[in-house]
Amino acid sequence: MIGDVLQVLVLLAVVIGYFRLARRAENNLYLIFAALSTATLMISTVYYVTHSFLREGMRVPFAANDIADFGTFLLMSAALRSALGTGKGKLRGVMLGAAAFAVANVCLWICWSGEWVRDILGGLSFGYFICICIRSVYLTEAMERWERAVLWILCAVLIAVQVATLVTVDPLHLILDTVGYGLLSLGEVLLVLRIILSFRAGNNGDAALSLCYFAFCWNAIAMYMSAGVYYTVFANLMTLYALLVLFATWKKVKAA
Amino acid sequence: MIYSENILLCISIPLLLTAIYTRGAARRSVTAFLLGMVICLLSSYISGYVTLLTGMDLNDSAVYISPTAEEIMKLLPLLFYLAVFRPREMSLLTFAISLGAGFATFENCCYLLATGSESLTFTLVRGLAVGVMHIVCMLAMSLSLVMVRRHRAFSFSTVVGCLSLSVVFHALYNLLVSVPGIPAGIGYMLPLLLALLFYWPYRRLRETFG
Repeated sequence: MIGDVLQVLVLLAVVIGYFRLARRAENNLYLIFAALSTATLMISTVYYVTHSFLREGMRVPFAANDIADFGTFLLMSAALRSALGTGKGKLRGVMLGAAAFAVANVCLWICWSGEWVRDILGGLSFGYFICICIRSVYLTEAMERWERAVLWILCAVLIAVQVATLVTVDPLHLILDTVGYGLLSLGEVLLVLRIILSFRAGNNGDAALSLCYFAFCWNAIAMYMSAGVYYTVFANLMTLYALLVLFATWKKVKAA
Repeated sequence: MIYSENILLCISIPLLLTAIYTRGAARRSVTAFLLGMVICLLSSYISGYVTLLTGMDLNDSAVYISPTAEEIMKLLPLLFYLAVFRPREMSLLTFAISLGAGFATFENCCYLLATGSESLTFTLVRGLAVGVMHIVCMLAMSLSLVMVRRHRAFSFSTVVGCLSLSVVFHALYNLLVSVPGIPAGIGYMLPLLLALLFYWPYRRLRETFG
């Protein structure tokens, strides 16, 4: 609960930060989209906290905060597309890989929750966000070739491990579950390190921005694949990534 | 038990006549107001149908189903107006606000007829909270649409993204007012606060586009 309240306060500061940047920048469309997406995430968190407080223990199949989360991903995709452009590179293979990863995620959600409608509708927006994030990482050349290869291997192994947890029983299930959390955390650490390197590189900010959005996306994947204390940790990490995205945007505005 | 269709007929006939005998911006506003009332009735049908399907009670339905159904239904005529008539920015904003006002007016009429209008405090709260909330949601949605169209970034994802913002705000309001006491008080104040907050971008847009 404290983490959620803190998240709301930080997200409010981030929204104000975007509006202040928008007054300074010439092309401010991506800043407005970024502000709208953060505002949606903030109100979604407020709704979640209020719901948990006023209607404790009540679970609804398709609540407004789910719609807001999906809207956040769509608005973030719009922000990323506006900031970096659509690009002219042919990335059909990459897009197919990203779509396959998104579909695998949605299938896993359905297996875990059994809520078809919510998972498919949410999966559409989340899948689109995954595709836009991966595309922007390629377009801005934010990662070296070998780093991208490591990332794809990590995604494939992660999906394989998560599928294996569905068909195994303890103690193998417990081991695979721990390996899954290890892989998710490894991805987070690698991305944060890459973001730090990108910030220190001193380029125009596009690479850092695409990496920050991708890290946000990876954290969302980790959050949806987790339960219990791990879920809380990944949910609270959203605050950090929202701040990193603002910092990368500030860098881009400054460079422009 | 009230007959919403009869109330709609009674209110809409003079408005329809007004729309016939007026021109330009006045006609657009009256038509949007009328459309808002029709949309209110249609969204209550949809909410009622989904409530029956899911087996929720009225309170839960107001919190979980109505915000989504109402906001989607309000967006549809706005999108139609935007796509077919290609209005100017201020015209779109006026249309959206009139639509929201029509929706809120009809909802308030039905609510007061069903529950009674003896208490002045309750009537004022109803007018200042629900009435303002629908207008604020429409204002937010139309401001987003104006901005998206101005930057040539109009797409399905941006429209749905903007819609989700108004859905979650509406749902938060309904959730807060469903619990009497302090939560309801906070809920009643939310739309007014947001209306004050939106006045600045609205004024700026009005200065820019006249």
